[in-house]
Amino acid sequence: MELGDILIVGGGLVGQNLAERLSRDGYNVTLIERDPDKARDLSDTLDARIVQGDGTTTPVLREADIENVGLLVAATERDECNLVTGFLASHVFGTPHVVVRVRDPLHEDGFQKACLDQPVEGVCVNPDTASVDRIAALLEVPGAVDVMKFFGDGMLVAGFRIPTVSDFAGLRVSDMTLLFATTPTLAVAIQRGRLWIVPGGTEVIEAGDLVYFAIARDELHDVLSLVGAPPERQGRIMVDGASPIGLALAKRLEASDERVVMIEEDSVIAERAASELSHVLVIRGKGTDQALLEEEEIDKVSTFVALTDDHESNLVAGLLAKRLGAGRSIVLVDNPAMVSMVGDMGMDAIISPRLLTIGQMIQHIRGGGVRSGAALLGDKVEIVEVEAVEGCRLVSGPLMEIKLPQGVLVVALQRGDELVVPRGPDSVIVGDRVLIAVESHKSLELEKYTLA
Amino acid sequence: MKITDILVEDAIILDVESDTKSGVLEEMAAALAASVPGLETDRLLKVLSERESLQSTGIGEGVAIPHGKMAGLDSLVASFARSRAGIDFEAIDQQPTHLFFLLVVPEHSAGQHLKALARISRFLRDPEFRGCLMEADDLTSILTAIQQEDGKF
Repeated sequence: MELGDILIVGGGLVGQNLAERLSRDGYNVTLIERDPDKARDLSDTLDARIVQGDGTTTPVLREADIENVGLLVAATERDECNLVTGFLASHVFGTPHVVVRVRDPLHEDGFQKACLDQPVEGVCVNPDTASVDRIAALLEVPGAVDVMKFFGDGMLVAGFRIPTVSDFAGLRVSDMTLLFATTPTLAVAIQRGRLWIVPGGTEVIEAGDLVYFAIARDELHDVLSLVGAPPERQGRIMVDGASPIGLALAKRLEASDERVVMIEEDSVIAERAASELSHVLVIRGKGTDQALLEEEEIDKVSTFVALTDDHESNLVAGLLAKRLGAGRSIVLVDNPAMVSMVGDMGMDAIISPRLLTIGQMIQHIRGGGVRSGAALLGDKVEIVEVEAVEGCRLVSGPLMEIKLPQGVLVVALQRGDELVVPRGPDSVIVGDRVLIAVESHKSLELEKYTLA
Repeated sequence: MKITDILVEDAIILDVESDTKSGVLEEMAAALAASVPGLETDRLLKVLSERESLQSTGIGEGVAIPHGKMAGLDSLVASFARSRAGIDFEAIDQQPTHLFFLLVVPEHSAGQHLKALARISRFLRDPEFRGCLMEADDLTSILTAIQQEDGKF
């Protein structure tokens, strides 16, 4: 199946960024934007066809040529609009693949159920759930700047800044197979200065590199010890902001018996949060309030997570918490300029719901029907999980013979419950789940291997 | 962890006699077992062969690092051997292998074996160090080369 042309509804940050990536990849992209001024701006900046109008109406969708697209993405800020567009695409126009952005989990359920009896694939992408998942994964891996899960929970991809004392500093990438012979644990992407690579075997890891490792669950402890990250600090987790993401995170942490303290500025929201949580102490105040942080013994906090709707405050609070002795700071920021800046500011990890949403949409575009979101590393490298389907080139022979392009790395296979290390003479078989690292500009080329 | 600390000097073989992969492993296993109490050649060989069958430890550039875990061993031990002629060790670059570091670790070494493996493989990526090992005329020169490399990190 060829994916064909793509229609995006909503020219906000998500729609815009997604359109940018996809048209750069070589797809024909059309974008519908309701606001005339914004639509005009977009047609100046984007390499995509812009249709100005209401994407919840059939004439506008027709004008955008919905009958001939392979994929529709409804990505406005509003659940209801996205759902209407999604229903029209899946139930009226029979669009083969429909991806809908929704924040309310109850909306998710309805749309997915409604698509079950249709000959189309309809999925929801939820920025809040994706954010909570990502924070929870980060909390599992001390020292990591970014953590993604694949194959359900079987493989992690985690990024670490390599300290000088690390056993990885000076190690050749191919030597990781010497260390981890029985599991697909290896370096899948390296950022060195402005450069991002999917490393070949002869690449040498250097101190100061940001290295993303694919890690089989059982090897996590060993990889952490080789990275040389400081040991995890025991202590409370402090969540700043009872936003939907903050509250969902607190609930999840509470369920796994973590000690959590929450800060919320608004008294009504704080009270409501307190009533929904049973073991979490909710304090009224601001994460940017030094006296409050000190009073709450911030220097004994293992991780400080800033999740308020004011992203600049999150950044300030995160820096402050770090300076006052918190073990680790994770902050929510979404503005593209801020996202790219934060890494240089000494923040341990950032959460960008926008990027996570785009990651999930991209995953859907690459792999179709796969559970986890694609990991987007600095705009340059994608880690995607695909299912090997009948008739695709990936299953046509041993890996050493199918000649994957440079910049594409088959990282791991999941066959049934078994984790398989893909070596040259091995073949991918139909039904395997395949974890792939790909330099973004090669992703369209990758599609030739993964689609039938 | 220094390689010098785990290297068993008596087990070092300046020039192996064998010209096959299994032969070199046998020579090295026998030499190490002779110097380390509690280590048996046959059991060690079996462990090493099992590891090789998974994937050759010939990491290219003329280097192999055969290794394995042994129950009953107290601490990490390593030895070194050399073949000037080169041996087909099924290395990943399909080139002959000249330098062999054998690493044997206790069954429950809690990650120490990975650190040792990482250290040895990092050392051997240095062409100068490999050159020193290739050209060394006697045991002392080999030990000096390893000590120097140990001092760098």
